[in-house]
Amino acid sequence: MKEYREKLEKILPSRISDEAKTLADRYGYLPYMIERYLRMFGKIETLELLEVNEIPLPETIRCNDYLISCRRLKERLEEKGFVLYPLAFSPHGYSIEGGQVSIGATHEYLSGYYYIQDPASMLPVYELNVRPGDLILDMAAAPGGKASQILQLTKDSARLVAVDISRRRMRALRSNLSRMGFSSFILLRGDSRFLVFKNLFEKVLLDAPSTGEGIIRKDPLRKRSRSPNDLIEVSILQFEMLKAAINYLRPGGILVYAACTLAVEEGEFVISTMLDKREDLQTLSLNIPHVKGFEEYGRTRFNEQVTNCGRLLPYIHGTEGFFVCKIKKKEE
Amino acid sequence: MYAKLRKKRNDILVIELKRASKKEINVLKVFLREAGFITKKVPISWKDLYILKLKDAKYHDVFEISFANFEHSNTINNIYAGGLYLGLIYKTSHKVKFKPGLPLARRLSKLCKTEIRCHVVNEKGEKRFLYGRTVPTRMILNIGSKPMSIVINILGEPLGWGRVELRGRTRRLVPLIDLGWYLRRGG
Repeated sequence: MKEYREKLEKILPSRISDEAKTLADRYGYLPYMIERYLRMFGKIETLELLEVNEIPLPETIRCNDYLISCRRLKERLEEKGFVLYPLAFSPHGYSIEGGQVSIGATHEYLSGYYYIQDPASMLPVYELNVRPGDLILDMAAAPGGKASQILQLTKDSARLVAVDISRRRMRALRSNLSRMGFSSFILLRGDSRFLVFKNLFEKVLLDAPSTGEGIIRKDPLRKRSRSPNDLIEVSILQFEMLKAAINYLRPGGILVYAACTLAVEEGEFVISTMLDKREDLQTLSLNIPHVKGFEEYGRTRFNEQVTNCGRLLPYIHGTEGFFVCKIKKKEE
Repeated sequence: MYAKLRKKRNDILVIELKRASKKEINVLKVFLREAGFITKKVPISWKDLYILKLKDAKYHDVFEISFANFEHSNTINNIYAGGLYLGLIYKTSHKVKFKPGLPLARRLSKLCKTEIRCHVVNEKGEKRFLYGRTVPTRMILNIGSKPMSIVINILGEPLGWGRVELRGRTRRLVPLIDLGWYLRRGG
């Protein structure tokens, strides 16, 4: 990992421009973040990003059509004073306003008829193209948004092994899957880098722990809470998890790597380094809305396959920032 | 903080997932009979019942797991939960007992229309019940065939498990476990 760390340190900005310092001061970010945004998006788009990040993300839910039709759920919530708008690119997603009680405390919520989930987070699971009977691994599964979506899309007939390291979050994962009426799963608590499986799963979802740079609209504290060193540590963790994920995947299987971040260091850099190390991997194009991954960043040129990966951007897609990449492990 | 996380190895709990013994299955069947069910008609796959045993725990979780056996599954030793949670088995001073879980209420509530009579509450009763509060007689639309039963609302949706008790001359419905638990537990 020494080599990985050194390469990563090289792509981080060594000096901060006055422009970045001014914008960081104006919008309350750490300057190194803005310097990277300027490098990625240019000045105009960076300003758009910073402006959009000032607007809180609307509350959104994913209807659980395993238990209730989305139309019926909409009617029931509207009877309670909520107003629901369908999300443009998620067949089960709605943004929600109004209501006299918290959206997390309705009878419908307790009955498992919906899950409170950010809009971009609903999308990676569609890329997995899950089917009944698939043996699927979710490597950082808690609190269960994507795990429950996998079971929802397969009508509770996939075989899901969901793993998480945190005991507290594991309780939430178990509660959420049970609340939503699913039973075709096994939950393992532990570090998903050290599982016993090899070449086993048809599908693997790695929604990797991240710096959360993509969810500033939801958690403005993220503007200042992650240092460059945190970014490096997270990226290393993501790379290790990805390496493990590929080992758990059977040849011919599909892996979806996702992270709620805008950072190249947590996206293209991780994927590109892995693609350079292993010849049995191939990225696949995405069907969800996205902008293409960067082939170049600063003076670094990534593996050309990273252009198949993509990013949801708050100022273009109206979501949180999210990086997604779909990888196939070639048949032996 | 991430460096700390990276250093943390697989901290394995001492847990054992075992097929339920005949004795353990019987504890569940006794409970179901007490709740008015005919065990042969209950939609539970008895052969898929597993008990999750934690070292020194006072109770053990019972699950119905449809796919416990897959390649390498016998080497897994950090299972936290799986499948349909039926409830937990615990020991009192002289008896082994079963406490039902919410997913079991959902599974069995389908039988409320045909096989057994469940407790039915009105809208006000539903609200009280979901807050874990006792429901007075005037809010109970139908009292089930047994004191301990599944509680449903007027739409037939399961709300949990409750017991009808006599207090003086009036009956009241006491929640054993209700859907509000998901919220109170912080899940």
